[in-house]
Amino acid sequence: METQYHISKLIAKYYLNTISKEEEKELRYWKNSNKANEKLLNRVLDEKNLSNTVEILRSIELFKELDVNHQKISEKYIKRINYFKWTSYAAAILLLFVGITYLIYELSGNSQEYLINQLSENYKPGMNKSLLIDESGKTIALNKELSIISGDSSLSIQNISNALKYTSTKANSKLEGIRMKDVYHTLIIPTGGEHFLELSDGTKIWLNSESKIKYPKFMYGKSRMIELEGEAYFEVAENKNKPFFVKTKGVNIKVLGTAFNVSAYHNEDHITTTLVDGKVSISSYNDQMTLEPGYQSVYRKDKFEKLKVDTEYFTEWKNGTFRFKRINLFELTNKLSRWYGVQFFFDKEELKNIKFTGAVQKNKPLGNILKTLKETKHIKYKVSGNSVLIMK
Amino acid sequence: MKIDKEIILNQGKEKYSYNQCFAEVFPIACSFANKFLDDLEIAKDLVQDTFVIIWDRFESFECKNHIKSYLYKSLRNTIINHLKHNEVINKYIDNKINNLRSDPTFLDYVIEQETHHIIYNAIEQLPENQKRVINLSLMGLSNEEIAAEMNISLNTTKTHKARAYKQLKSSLGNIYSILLILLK
Repeated sequence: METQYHISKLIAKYYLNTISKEEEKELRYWKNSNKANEKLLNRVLDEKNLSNTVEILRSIELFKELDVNHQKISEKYIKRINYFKWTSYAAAILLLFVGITYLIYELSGNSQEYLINQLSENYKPGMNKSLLIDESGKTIALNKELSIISGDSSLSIQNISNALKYTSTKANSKLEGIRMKDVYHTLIIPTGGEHFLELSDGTKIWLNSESKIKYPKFMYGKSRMIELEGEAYFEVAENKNKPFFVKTKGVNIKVLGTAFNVSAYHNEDHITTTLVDGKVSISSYNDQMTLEPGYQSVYRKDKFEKLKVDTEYFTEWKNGTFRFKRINLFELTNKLSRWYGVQFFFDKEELKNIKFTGAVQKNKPLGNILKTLKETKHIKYKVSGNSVLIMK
Repeated sequence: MKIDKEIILNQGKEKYSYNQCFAEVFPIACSFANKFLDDLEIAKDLVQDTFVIIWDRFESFECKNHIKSYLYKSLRNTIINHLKHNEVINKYIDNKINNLRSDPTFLDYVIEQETHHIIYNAIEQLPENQKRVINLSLMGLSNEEIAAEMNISLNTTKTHKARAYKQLKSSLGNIYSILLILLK
C-alpha cells in the first residue's frame, strides 16, 4: 500500500497548499492517468466528506479506548493461560464435596488417602489439552486428531494424541534462496499436560507441563529462533547454515546441533540448561558461557554457575519419570503442582529446604509420592481440596 | 501483566511502542471501518479486536507502514465477516461488501482516509490562532474576511497564515518522488 500512502501525502499537501512544483506535477500525472483517479481526488477533497472524517477523529476518546484495549488484551491472554487453572479449581471444589461426603460416610477409614487418590485421578496425563495459536491468532485446542495443510501445500501439520508434527512437503532446495517472511506458531501446555513437538526442520522438542513455546512455522529465516517459557527437552536437527536459538526470559541459548534440556519457569528464581550431547553457548545480558556434555548451567540473580551433573535427572521427565537428586522440597513440590495440578503450602519456611533424592512414576497417583515423602519422617501433610499443606 | 511493548524500527534508529501505534492509528481505522458499517460503535469494536491481533504480533513488524497495511487488510476481512453475519442482508449491505471485496475500491478508501488523516493531524498540531486562520482559509475565506471573522488585524492574519504554512510545510516534509517510478 506504499503507493496509496504516497498519493495520500501528495493530496494532503495539495490541499494545504504546501505542495512543491515537482510534487504537483506528479499528482497531476496520477490524476490524468485514469478517470477513476480524478473522481477519487474530487471525493477526497470534498469539504463535506473531509469534515465528516474530521468529526469522527475528534470524537474518539483515545485514553478511554486505550484502556478498553488493554483490558481486552489482558482478558484474552490471561484467559488463555488461566483457563486451565480455573478448570482445575472447579474440579477441586467438586472433589472437595466428594471428599466431604466420603468423610461423613467413612470417618473411620483412611479417607485422606482416598481423597488424594481421587484428586490425582483427575489430573491424569492427557486430561488437560494443549493449545495451538496460529499466525492469525486463532486458538486451536489439540484435543483431537488434527491435520492442516498450509495454503501452498508446502507444509503439513498433524496432531495425534499429544504429538504435534510439522512436515515440510516440498523439497527444501526449492525454498532455499527465496527469503520468505516466516510466521510464528505458539503451543501452550497446561498444568498436567505434556506435548511432543516436531518442527519442520526435524528438530524434536518434548514440552513439560505449564510451558509455552513460540516457533517459526516454516523455518524460512536465516536462523531458527524459538522462544520458551517453562521446560523443554530439545533434540536439534543439525543445519550449519541455520543456527538454532532458544530465547528464555533472561537467558539466550545458541545451539550447535545437540540434545539438551531447558527449564525456565517464571515462578522459579533460576533458569537451568542441561547439556546431554553436542555444544551450546548461553548468554544473558551481562554474561555468557559454553557448555560441554554432562554439564549444567544455572542462571540465578544475573549470574551463571556451571555444574557437573548426571543429566538423566534432568531429562527423565520426558520418559514418564520424575527423577531427582538432592533437590529442595520446594522445587520438588513445584514440579508436582505443575503435573498434578495441586497447590502446595508450607507450614514453616525451613521445610522448603529439605533435600530429597528419588524417583516417581508420573502415571502414579499423587498419593503415592506423598506417602513416600511422609515415610522419610521429615514431613507430614494434610490435604484439603486441591491444596496440600506440608508440616513438620 | 505489562501490556505496552516496544519495537525498534529503521535499523535500530527508532523506538516505537504499541501504545504509540494505537494512538496514531486507532482513530483513522475507526473512521475507515465506519465508512462501511455506518455505525461508529460497531466500528470501534471491530478495530479494538483487530488491535488485539496487532498486539500479539507487534514484534514481527518492521516499519510503521507495514503495521498500518496489516491493520487495513485484517480490518477489511473483519468488516466483510461482520457484514456477512448480519441478520438482514439487503442490497445496500451487499453493495458495501462488494465495495470492500474489490481491491481498487478498498485501496481508494485507504487513500481517502489516509489523506484526511494527514490533513487533520497537520492542522491539529498548529497553535490555536493559526489553526483557526487555516480552517477559515480552507473554507474559502479571504484574508480580509478572516481578519473580520476573528476580530484581528489584517497584518496579524497574514503573519498567522505565513507561520502556519511554514509549519505545515515542515511537518509534511518533502516527499521523495516514487510515484513516477511506480507508474513506470
